[in-house]
Amino acid sequence: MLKITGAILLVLGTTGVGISFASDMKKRLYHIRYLYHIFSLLLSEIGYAKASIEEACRTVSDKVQRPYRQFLEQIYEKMKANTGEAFAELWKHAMQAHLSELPLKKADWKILEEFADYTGYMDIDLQKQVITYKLQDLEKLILQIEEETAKQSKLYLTLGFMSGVFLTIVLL
Amino acid sequence: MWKGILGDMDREIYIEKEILGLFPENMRDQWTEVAMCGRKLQEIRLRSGQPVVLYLGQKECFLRNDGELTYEKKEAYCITKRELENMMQHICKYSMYAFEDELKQGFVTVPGGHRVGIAGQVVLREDGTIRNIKHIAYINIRISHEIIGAADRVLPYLYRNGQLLNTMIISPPGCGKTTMLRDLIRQISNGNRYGKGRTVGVVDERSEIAGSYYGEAQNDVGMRTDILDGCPKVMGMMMLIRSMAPKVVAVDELGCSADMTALEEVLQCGSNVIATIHGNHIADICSKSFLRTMLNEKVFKRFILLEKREGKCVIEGIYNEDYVKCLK
Repeated sequence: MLKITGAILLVLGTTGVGISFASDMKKRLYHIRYLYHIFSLLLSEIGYAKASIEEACRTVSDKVQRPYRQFLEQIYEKMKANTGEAFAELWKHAMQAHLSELPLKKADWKILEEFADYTGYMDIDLQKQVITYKLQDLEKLILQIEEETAKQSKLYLTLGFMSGVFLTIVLL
Repeated sequence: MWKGILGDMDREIYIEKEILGLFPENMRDQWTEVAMCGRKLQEIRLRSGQPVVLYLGQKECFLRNDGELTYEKKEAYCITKRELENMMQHICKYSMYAFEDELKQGFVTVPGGHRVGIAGQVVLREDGTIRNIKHIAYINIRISHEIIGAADRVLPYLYRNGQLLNTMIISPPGCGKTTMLRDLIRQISNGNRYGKGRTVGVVDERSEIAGSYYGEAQNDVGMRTDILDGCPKVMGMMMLIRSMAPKVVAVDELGCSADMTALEEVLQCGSNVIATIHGNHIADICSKSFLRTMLNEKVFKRFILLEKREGKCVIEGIYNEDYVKCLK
């Protein structure tokens, strides 16, 4: 009886690990989609309303959820306070403060960080193009993660379950 | 509006902060001493690879590498193009595209109503109009010097039985006509001992009167004042009449017959006019052909003539419609 209980717990445990891996992938996908939504809002504010980055951060922060709201609010507050810090630094500091806990990978982080380095163009068309490129990058990433999620989440579940069964057999 | 409420000391602190706020963080240590000059500071001239020149009152001095001020040119600090670029990015809040229209005109108004003039390489469109200015290599920061009470002396002469008279301020450049106009607007708008407060419409083509930043007046122009910022005078005067129905319309620097046509329409709508014009004397404006009809019809009842004496801006006199001096 004890062995059977142990075997069930082991299989459940390893399956749980598989589910957790699959869930992380889904969470990552959710956040990348959310970032796409944020950049679309920024494009609308900057590209069409010609708002400054400071204004755009304030307006967009009202329309998004935590922790993105706090992230954008921090940038707006610092710019408003005119601390003299360059925008790229403000952006990166706010990322560290509010987005570091998110299940984002290095590549996702890089896309986000790079945005700050490519702002402040004199030409509005160029500025719009930069944001559009960011959206395209995110779009590609979303497609890639979607494919990976579809394939790998099943794989993680199966692997989780199978490794539990395998360990049970070995241990028995 | 805060300037009307705060004391001189507070204003000085605000100006220091505003001046220092023009510089990115990594330049602030060097510019602290300059910012502390506050209202004594007239202009800061920055030219790529050239010494930083400061105008304190009538004196010219230079900035040293350590942030101290000097009169010795050889000790002067030369600003780099990179620093100028960083400064412009900072002034435009890393959103130069949002300031495209202002940059095209060659200046940006910053918090406090100060003006940052720029020069560099002009980029033209195919039709010959200015698209932008790139490679900004020259920056001129003009510190706003709002003088509350500048119009106190002239105000009694501008009213007749409580009614405001159409007035023209005549002055050579740099003699304080915009400062005078700004304070007149404030006092007419708020009301004063000679007349009750009136709605004033201001067409601030170059953001010099109200010093608007994001559409909000940085100078005190009164509680009943509506400002059309960055709008061409001719278009702006009619827009104001239609949209805000002002009792008084104020414009800076009349200069062509189109301005006069717009002014006529304003007068036909029953509004009063306060305007400024370049000129050294009454005779100067009489010789301007575009003004002739209005002067012949005696539309303007008062002419305030300003001039510079021993480096100070003074009121030379106030003249009536027959060019007779009322104030000597």
